[in-house]
Amino acid sequence: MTPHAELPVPEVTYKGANRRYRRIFIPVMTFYVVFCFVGPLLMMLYEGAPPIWLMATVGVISGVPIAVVFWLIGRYLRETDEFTRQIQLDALLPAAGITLSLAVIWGFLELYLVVPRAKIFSPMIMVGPAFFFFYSMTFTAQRILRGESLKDVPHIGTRER
Amino acid sequence: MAETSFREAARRYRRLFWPAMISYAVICISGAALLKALDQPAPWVSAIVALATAIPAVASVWLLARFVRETDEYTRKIQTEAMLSGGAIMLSLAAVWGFLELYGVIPPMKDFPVVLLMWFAFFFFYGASFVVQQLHRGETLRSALKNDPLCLGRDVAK
Repeated sequence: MTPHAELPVPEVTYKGANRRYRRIFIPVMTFYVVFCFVGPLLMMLYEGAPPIWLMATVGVISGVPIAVVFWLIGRYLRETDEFTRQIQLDALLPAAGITLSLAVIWGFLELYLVVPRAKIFSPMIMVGPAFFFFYSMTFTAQRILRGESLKDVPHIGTRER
Repeated sequence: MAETSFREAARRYRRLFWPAMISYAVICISGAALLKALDQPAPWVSAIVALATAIPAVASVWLLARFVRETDEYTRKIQTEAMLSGGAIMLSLAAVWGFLELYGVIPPMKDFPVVLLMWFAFFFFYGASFVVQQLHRGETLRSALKNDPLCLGRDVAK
């Protein structure tokens, strides 16, 4: 192989990439929402503490759909057109930067006991939602900066165009 | 977009990255020592120490962003791809970890805030993704490592 060769990029169209994204995103998210209820219900069926293998399985199955969404975003970026890739990258990277920065700040505040250590659930579970929140903010902010309308936002997986 | 050359961008990166990392190490140790010496410090003292410790870490993230804006197209592309993969792996693991903690499989860490590990995890996965992607592109391991995984701002002859 020649040096500086590109990764194999299966570029499809904007429309095709959105369709392929939707086709997996919607089932996965439906499963995620349902399983977030089914998982705890399953554990409540046990008298007393459920076995550790069950809790581990339910925990992993609940987390995996989030990982699948990240993989989907990666595939979408590879598949869609250059312009969409650029505007999505411009929103995704700052959002990840903001999330990571806040995680570090929060981590040190926790370490030095300025904020209480979470006893019920760990801040780890808020990291994903925080990322998607900041992603929507950075995406919107950059649309405004580019002087575009906020109607018909071409979000990933859109049916527009 | 203030595009400078690869070399210039790397130099500007280096010039802040290493001071940031050294001050990070110094503040980490001296801050913890200070809080220990004070014995039950006021919350505002702890808060200032915590924020001061976090600033260099946050700066390192901001520096990465400036570096990819300033460097050449090719470097931007390979570094961005590695950062995205690294970030995705880190956030995926965070989601799984979060649920495992929620359901009590992993005991909640009382002595150490686990979100703090995310910063290290990100840089680890970012560097690993970079090397893997360069190998995929047909580069040798040696040239992949020479091409600066982790954006340490090495002066690579271009």
